[in-house]
Amino acid sequence: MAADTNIEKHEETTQPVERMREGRSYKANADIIEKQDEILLIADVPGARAEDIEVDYENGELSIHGRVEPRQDEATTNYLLREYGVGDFYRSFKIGEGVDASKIVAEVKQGVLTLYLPKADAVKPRKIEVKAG
Amino acid sequence: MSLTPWRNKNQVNEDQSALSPIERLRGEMDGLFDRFFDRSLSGLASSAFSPLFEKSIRLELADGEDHVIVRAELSGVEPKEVNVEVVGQALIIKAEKKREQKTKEADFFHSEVQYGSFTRSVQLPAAVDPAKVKAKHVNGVLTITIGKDPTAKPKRIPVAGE
Repeated sequence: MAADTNIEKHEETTQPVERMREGRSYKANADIIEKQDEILLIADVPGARAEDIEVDYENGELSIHGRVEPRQDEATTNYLLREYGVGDFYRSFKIGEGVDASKIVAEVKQGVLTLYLPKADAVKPRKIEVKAG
Repeated sequence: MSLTPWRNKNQVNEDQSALSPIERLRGEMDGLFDRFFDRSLSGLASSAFSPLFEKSIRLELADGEDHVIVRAELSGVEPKEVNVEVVGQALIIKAEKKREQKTKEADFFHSEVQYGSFTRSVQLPAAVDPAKVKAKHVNGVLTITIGKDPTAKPKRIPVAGE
């Protein structure tokens, strides 16, 4: 049953970064798509607003951290079903030389974070003109 | 060009969910029963084929004094692509998650997100008033508030002696 849903989330047992708050954090599911001159990274972060999401790039590692506040008072709520957990999202990716890290653009819409990672000029496909001699 | 998902083996436990194993088992059993009965009751025509192609939606269901709150995480789904119905004491949610980016399969370097049709139905814990159903979809989280039917509240009937 777990395999047939889009909102299966994986909990991380320890806290990978210092600023991580107490509580559970989840691995954001992501798609990576390679286009001709950019790479797209699309991650599901339901419940996170733009101001709740931090995207950091350091030493070739791109990290995504999304804060998600509890939606209901845990103590007083009578839950009959709790099929998913609510908590922060965290994910990090190693990025090779081929990405121009200074030009990474991020946007979030309806709980989906999209990162545009432009390829560095050196690795972009280029057509070399052949001149007649 | 390399862009690979990175994770430390010690830090990620794939099978863990937020719930204790008992709670999770209970949730799964409930889901199993709900789906089994929903399907067998909703007639062969609609149930025979669609479950194979439709993905489920995970829910949070909170029972309150005079209302029930149902939540689901449906990121990347536009509000107009969410369909919420209350039929008797059952709630039916359908959603369509479309790809934002036009892509060819060959462009996928790594794929974890599921797209397509999602559906779920759940039995509500009390009789509800279909006129008091509100649904909103914000930041990828669907919240449905359903008012309970006040006339259906349990009433104690005094038992008279002779």
